[in-house]
Amino acid sequence: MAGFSSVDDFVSSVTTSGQFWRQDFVKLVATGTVVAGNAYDLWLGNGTIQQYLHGNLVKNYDFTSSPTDWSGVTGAWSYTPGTHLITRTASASDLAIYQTIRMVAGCYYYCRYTIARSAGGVTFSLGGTNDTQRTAAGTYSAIILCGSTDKTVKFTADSSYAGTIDLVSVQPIAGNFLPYTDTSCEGSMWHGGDVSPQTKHLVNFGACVNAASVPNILYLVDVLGVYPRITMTQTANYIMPVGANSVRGAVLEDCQDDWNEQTVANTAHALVVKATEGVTGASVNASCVKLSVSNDTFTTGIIGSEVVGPTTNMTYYYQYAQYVYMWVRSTINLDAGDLTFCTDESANLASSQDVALPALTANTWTRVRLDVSGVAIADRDVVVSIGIKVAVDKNQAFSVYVDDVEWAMPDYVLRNGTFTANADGWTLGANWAYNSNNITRTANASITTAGQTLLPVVQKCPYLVTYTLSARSAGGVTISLGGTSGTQRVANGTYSEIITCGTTNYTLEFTPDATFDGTIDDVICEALMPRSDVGAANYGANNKFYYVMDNQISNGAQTANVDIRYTNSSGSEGTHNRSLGGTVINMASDVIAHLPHSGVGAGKYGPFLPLAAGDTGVQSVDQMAFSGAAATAESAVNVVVCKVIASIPITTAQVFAERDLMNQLPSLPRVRDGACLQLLHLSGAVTVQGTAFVGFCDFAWS
Amino acid sequence: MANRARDILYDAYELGQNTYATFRKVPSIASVANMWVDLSMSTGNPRPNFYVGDELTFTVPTDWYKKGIWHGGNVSPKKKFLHKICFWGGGAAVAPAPYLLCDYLGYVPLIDMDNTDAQAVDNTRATLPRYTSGVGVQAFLVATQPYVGGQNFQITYTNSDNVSGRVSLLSVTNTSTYIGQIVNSGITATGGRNFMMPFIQLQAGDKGIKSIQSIQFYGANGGLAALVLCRPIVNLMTRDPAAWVEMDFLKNKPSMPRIYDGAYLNLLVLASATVASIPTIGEITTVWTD
Repeated sequence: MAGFSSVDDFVSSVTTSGQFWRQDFVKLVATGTVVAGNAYDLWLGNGTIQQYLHGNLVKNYDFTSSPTDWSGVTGAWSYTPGTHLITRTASASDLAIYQTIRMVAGCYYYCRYTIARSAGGVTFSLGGTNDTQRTAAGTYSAIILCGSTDKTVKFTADSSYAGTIDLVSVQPIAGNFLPYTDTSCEGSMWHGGDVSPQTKHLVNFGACVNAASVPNILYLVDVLGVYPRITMTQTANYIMPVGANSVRGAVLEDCQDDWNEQTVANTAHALVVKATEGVTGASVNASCVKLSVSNDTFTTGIIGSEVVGPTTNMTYYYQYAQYVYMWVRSTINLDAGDLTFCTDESANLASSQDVALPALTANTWTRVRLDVSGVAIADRDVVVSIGIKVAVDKNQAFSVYVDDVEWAMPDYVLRNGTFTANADGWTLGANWAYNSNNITRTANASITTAGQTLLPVVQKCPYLVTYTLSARSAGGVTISLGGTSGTQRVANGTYSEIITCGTTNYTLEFTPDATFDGTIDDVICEALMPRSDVGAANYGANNKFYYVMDNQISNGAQTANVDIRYTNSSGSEGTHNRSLGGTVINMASDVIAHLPHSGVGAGKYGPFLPLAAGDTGVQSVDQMAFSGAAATAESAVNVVVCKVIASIPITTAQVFAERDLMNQLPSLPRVRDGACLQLLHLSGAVTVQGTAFVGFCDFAWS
Repeated sequence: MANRARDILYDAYELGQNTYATFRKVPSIASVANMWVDLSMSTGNPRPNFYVGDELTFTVPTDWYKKGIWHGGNVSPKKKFLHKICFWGGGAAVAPAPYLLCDYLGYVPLIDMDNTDAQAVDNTRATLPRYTSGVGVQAFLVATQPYVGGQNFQITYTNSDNVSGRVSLLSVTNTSTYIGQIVNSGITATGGRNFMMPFIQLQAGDKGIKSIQSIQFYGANGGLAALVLCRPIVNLMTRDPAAWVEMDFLKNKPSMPRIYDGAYLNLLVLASATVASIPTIGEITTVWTD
């Protein structure tokens, strides 16, 4: 049995088995003067534990000790310890330095870097996609579509470039969840490593502060993960989408009012009550939209459309979306492509971009997933109209019901999980082949796999993997992630299962048995909240969240209300889109490391955002909106989910506050394998930049 | 009382498997506030440690443990633990103040802080004792001659995963100038890269030092120093010059720190003012058992 069965068991574990780890730390306040009553994320400050930029895929982004993790720092490129910069002198050779990171071709990333130069130019590239060549000193940023040439972030100089590189960051955009472990990111406090099947506990916790900046409360938290780069620059009711999987998408149109933008001849549109209409099912909504072809005079074209817009339904990030989900029901059988989902930046779908719906069985609600990534960004950054078209004349009257149109970002794990037009990104072993927007395998005694390698998955974290198996005639196939296998499937269907990514590799692959003959499609791999008992009835219990300014960019004069929706910890699925338990007001002209929702005024909560009454935890963050736009270009926040391990009040400068969590405050908080430990601080007094929190943690396990 | 704890106490106090020893350190040289001081170099009991040895050679003095805070002789195959410590800081500079009891593992003496070359360390005459993998082993640079300060330096080392060529984060020497001051400790007004902890910051992800390869200053700093490898044992805290600190590691802050055979124990202190002539007085009790 894991855990300490008695005090004596503790003594025995420590003294006999040496199951104990002591870790010192010092963290400096990163920002300008800290204000009393406010909360701050100490992760962003210097010290031991290392400084870390939330969501940054680049290691050693500020070259604090050496050029480690970077290649090509030789010859014309050199490291300058005194200034911790990468410096280049003009040369016809040694043009590039680079770092290999795990990212997804075809996904967008926010890239930022700082250069100084005296001559020439340098070009940043991501996976082979170039940013603009820079020929002036400055800090540059861009949202770049990751190329497929390689998996590097690279700086390529021209022969005359002489200058420096610093502060390089590559972050997923739009809040795609990035889980953290003690080894997945820089900046986690070491607590002794994995001990399972034993359990580890915090035994002693002590800290002091050097300056007369007391009182303070220091929180030791297990940071579960982050939703990075959520922009603050959009106007009211901007919504951040999360969840590539069908469980959670951002609502595009809830279909609770009639789609009445236009009425096309020989068609009709209405809002109907499901129960009355005899079409109960789909979402929990009581009503749905009904679009009808009135007679066989109608051939093809628009059968209904609805006005949407940036201030209501659409979002800034729809331009980067990959999927649209919608419930659809038809009164007749339809083939794939008979209907299309349409969006347009002009009214009335005057020049729409259309995506085909799959086949539908008559009188059956079907939640379809449409890949909209093929629609050009320029055609969907300001969408004002959505609707349905009949693309193939059915020569009869029929009706289509529509409910809950949602959209979602890519999962930021897999490339081309829908095998659209090809199998790019996938390595297909013998007897696997691209078919028609899917892949097939023919039975063969030689067992080879179909998969993707070097994925940006975090080992030891849970993922929801979804895929569709069809046209199976024999045998079975098993999906695996990181070397950990899921369940073998031996029947057609769409499957979702939770797999904790193994530690063997960073590969997702399908392994057939010798007789397997079938088709795979629609593969999604979505990160779930780690160390939160995923799948259990208490999934997400005791998780809390906060947000913090991203990448040292302030937010200008913005005192917007913040609307964050989350999925609570009610049951294994939780309840989605829960509202916060109070009106939260953002802080204007904020500084790095500060939690903008914290403070002493009205609408301020800290360090954690208030949950709705009765809620005790968080499974995921679903949406986020600011009621007004930030004045500073590119300002954004990171939403961080964590568990509190312990807190300690520091009342007197230079005097250690210590807590014995066995005898003094019996609790022995659990520290799970993979815990990413960091510190938050709630200030009770003005604290100047560079003030140091010094302390230690003792961990023991049994 | 349950068996293990009872066994420890029985072995210790019924069978005499314990050592009680006192210490008294009174620095004769000044220090600067908010910078760690190595009390092993101070006069008193145990006697001062002068970090003698050949320059740039990793040194582990023979029977060094006899010259530190006494914790008893070798007890292997039994295991020794720190049971209790009581001590007192005799002035405002060291009370309140945090202390660190450390097991000093070895040192590299006579580092010329004016030399801006990468100074390679000779590791052929001694290897890291007791914590041989290097897990949890930290390093600090202590002045053995007066210096000027204000220069950057880094060390290269092999970490506890046996990966060589690791590079510490940039450290800035403080401007204390005093012998016995930990050169890499202290803070600037804006925080900079000086830290309140006494140890040199390791490369991200590293959990300890197995051996030192080199040290390099990026400007002439002045003075001589010793680079010390140690394993922190326990944090301690004085709170008032009139208050005796008593800590029982079985009951108060349960941890029962392990004291290995041959451990050289001594103290570091983060003083809030000069430590000159201010005593730190105390006693420790170690116990050993199977």
